[in-house]
Parts: sequence; structure tokens; C-alpha cells
Amino acid sequence: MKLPTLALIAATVLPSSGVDFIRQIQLIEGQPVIYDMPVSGLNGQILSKPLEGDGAILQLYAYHDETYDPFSLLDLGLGSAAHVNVSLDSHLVDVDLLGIHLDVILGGSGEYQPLPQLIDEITVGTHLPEATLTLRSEDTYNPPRTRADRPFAMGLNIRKLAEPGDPLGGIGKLTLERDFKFYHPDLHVPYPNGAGQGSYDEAFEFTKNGDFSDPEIYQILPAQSPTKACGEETFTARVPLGGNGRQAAVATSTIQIWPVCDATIENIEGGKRYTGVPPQARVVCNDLYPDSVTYAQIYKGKPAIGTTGRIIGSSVVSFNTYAPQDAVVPLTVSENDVKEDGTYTIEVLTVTPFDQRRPERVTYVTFDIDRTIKVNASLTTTEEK
Amino acid sequence: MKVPPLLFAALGLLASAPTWGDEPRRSGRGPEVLPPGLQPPANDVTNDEAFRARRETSGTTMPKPVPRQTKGYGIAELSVFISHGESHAILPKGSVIFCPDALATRVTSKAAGKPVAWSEFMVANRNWISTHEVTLAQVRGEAPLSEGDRKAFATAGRIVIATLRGNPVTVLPVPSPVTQP
Repeated sequence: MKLPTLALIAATVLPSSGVDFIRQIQLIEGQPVIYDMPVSGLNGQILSKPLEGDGAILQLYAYHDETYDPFSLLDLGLGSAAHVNVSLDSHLVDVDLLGIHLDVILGGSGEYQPLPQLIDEITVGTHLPEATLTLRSEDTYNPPRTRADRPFAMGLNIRKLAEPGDPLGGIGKLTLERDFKFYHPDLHVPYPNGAGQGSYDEAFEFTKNGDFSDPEIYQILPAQSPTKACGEETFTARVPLGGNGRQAAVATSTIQIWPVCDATIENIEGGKRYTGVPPQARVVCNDLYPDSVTYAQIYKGKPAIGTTGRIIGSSVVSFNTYAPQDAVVPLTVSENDVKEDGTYTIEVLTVTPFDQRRPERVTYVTFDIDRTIKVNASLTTTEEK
Repeated sequence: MKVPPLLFAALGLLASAPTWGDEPRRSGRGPEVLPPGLQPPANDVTNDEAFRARRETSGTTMPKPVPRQTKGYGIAELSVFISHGESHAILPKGSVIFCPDALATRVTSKAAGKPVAWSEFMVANRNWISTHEVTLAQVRGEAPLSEGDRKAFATAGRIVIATLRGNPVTVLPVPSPVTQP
């Protein structure tokens, strides 16, 4: 029973420096017996058979590589709620984010991470409840991900929970918890030393077997600007195991939350008069969704949502990747595109997996094209006699 | 001198090629990457105010963020560290089955210095660490270590780590016999 699970873990282990290991915690009459198996390269040496007991918890541990540039973290942009104090001497960044105190220790300090990070955990046992947990959004990408403003769905299937009156006893309760991790805004990964992580003071208890689902869940990352939240939320089903109030995870699933994009049109001012679209006009885009096409369109008239304009070819930028992207695109508009004088609007639109891939407007600017030459002059004549 | 840039270019191609090959839609710039059948925009992207309102309407409660609880089987409480000089190795709690008084300071409950894989650490410190292969009965606390082994540990004067098929393992203490009244 246990071997396939173990093989799966071993196969998904990333190449490592050789310090990573799998820890097997076997409960023998409630007492934990720990067995550490080294993981090198893609294989771990796993011997699960010898230890039998009330259940086994398998944890994969790894030390993060200290490859972060010491200066890359200096312009932390966690939103206006983050008050960042940087001390170069101590390599310590204090981030006070909505009252949660986070210490970000910068890489390159020469200090080692004291403890390895738990990468994954799984609990197996013949007499333990089983659960599967799935998270999904309108974006079908794997691993699951969504945009900060979009809902996602959860499915939880629970089996083998003991009935309250079961004479054999057994575990009759499963707790569903929700944790979060903020990502570094530029690196798009969790902070290296475990900062920016937390849990929520809310948990749900399940005492019955069955299939449960919630079709509409919104992210609740404690970010000052919720649409700019960047991180992940993890749902974990745990069961009490081994006494002392200890719990072990039986199912877990994580969804990545990427920020809603923003854009600024530069070198064209709203309401101003131009003889043509300035050649240096451009759009600066931030946090474009990993699967998105963003472009600008121009049309005659005042801004009106739902208008189909002429797409500005130079502005089209497409991404199909794993993390949000920034881009700067030129707005090259020829004389022919703005033949008539009058009021024009340029809109920046983005197409993502959300809302059936219908474009959404990110920003716009309205200005006037006026090529009439007005000469203000006076004619004077002088007569000489 | 021309080799490194070429090498990097080749690596770059290797790194990006699989992404392009697998993707149904291309990353890139210009009108040719536009998806077919574009519709006009239906709305503006969501701002904070609209999102908060939508989230509230959906009945989402806003639980308070709290530090992550360690109700599980944490690494710190179930580990013991063996250190020397600038490096240390992590071991299962209860795997040190013998420790001479003179070396007691090398076994600690806190990690310090550079983490090193246990196997490497042991090779580098063979002169004061040894391992002892234990049985499953001993791991479970059902059978004690033999007197002969204990004497041998004391004579050798080294720290002894219990192993099972070569990997460090906890050895549960043998429960002291309960005297029936």
C-alpha cells in the first residue's frame, strides 16, 4: 500500500545539493519513531516496509539555496501597507505588513538557514481517514492558479472517518485549515526564510464522510490592495494523530494568486491637443497575467466601453508562462489611422483565461487631434510720403 | 573567447525551446500573436473597491491572519543536531544511543553553522562518531541494547548513532517494568 506513494515522492524530488532528505515519522503506540532518508539527485533511498505502526507521516525537507541577490530585495513593493526598513549591515529587512511582523533576511549574509523547509507532507496508514482536496479556477493551468479578483472552487472528498459510535474507536474528525504565503513581488516565489507566511484564525471541522465542494472562494491574502495580492493559499485537511494535540496532514492543495495587471499610457496627456499621436507614446504594463494577450486600440470619440477600435499593432504583447510579466510597448499610430481631426481614445485591453477570454479594459486616454493651422497675425501698412 | 556567449545562446535556446513547443499559444509581440475572434471589452479590470464588494457579496468572511501554528510533527521538536566546528548535521530525536560525557556538547537541540548531509558529516568525523545498526525490536522499544554492545560503546568512547539499513533512526526507550501491586 505504501510503496507507490513513496515512489511518487521520490520521483518528484528536485535535484538537490544532497542535504535534502525525507523524514518518515512512524507512530508506535503514540510515540514518534523518526527515520531520515537522504535524497540525492532524483532518487531517494526509501525503505518503508520495516516500520509498522499506527500510521506514517512522510515529510520532504530541503534547504533553500541562498541564491538571492542581496540587493534585489531592497525595493520591496508589498503595497502601501508594507513599511520596509532595510539595514544593510544586518542584512535584515523588517516588513510590518498589517501588523504581522515579518523578518526578511537577505541572502548573501553568509548565515545559513538553521532549519530545512518542509516541502511536502503526506500521511498514510491503514486505519487513518483518507481525503482528496482539489482547487481549480477558470484558468486550467497546472499547478492551480487564479487572478487575485477571481473566485476559485474547492472539492474535498473524505473517506474512512470513524462513526461516532464506532466500537473500534478511530479518528472521527477532520479539520480543514487555510494558510497563506506572500510571494516576493519580483521573484514570484515565497520569501526564502519563511517570512510572509501565516494562517487564518478559522478552520472547518468535518465529522462525516462524503464529497464536499465550495464553488466560489475568494482569496483573502492580507494585502493592503487586495487586487494586487501576490502569493498562494493552501488548504490542508488534517486529522489528530499520536496525542499531544498533534495533527497530521492527509490531503493538501495550493493555489497561486497573481495580481490584477495595471498599465500607464505615457507621453500622451488626456485632454491635450496634438497634430498626431506622439511617436514616443508608449504603454508601461505591470503584472500582466501569465496567460494573457495585452494590446491597445484607438477609436474616434470619447471613451465608451464596448467599442471596437483599430488595434495598434506595435502594442500587442502575449505571454504564456508561469509568472506575471511586465512589459513596455510603443504606440505607433500612422497618419492614416487618424485621418480626421477630432477627439480620439486609446484603450489598453487585456485578454486572460477569465470571463471567457473577453477583453477587459486596463486603462485609457482621450485626446484631440487637430491639424488646422491657425495663424494669428496682424497686418500693418505704413505709408511713406 | 567566443565560446561562452555561444554556450549561453545555446543554453538559452535549450531552455526556451520546450516552452514554445508545448504551448498552445505563443508568447511574443506584434499583431500575429493576437488571438482570433476578438470581442470588444465588456468591462474595466477589477479595482480594489469593486473586488472587496464582490467578495463581501459572496459571503466571504475575513478571518484574522495569525502565525502558522505548529500542531504537526515539526522539524525542531523531533530532531537533534550534532555539530563540530563550522558545520552540523540533523538527526532524528532519540537516535543518539551513546554519548561520552566529554563529547556531550557536540549533541545539541539547536542548529548552528552550515548544514551538511549526515553521511558527509559522519565521514568527516569518523574519529569520534560511529553508527550501530539496530533491530526493529530495538527501534520499537521492545528489546534493549545488549550489555556487550553498551560496554563496547563505552570502551570506544565515541558518540553512537542508531541506524536502520544505514540511515539514522529513533530508538524508543524500553519501558521500565511495571510492578504489579
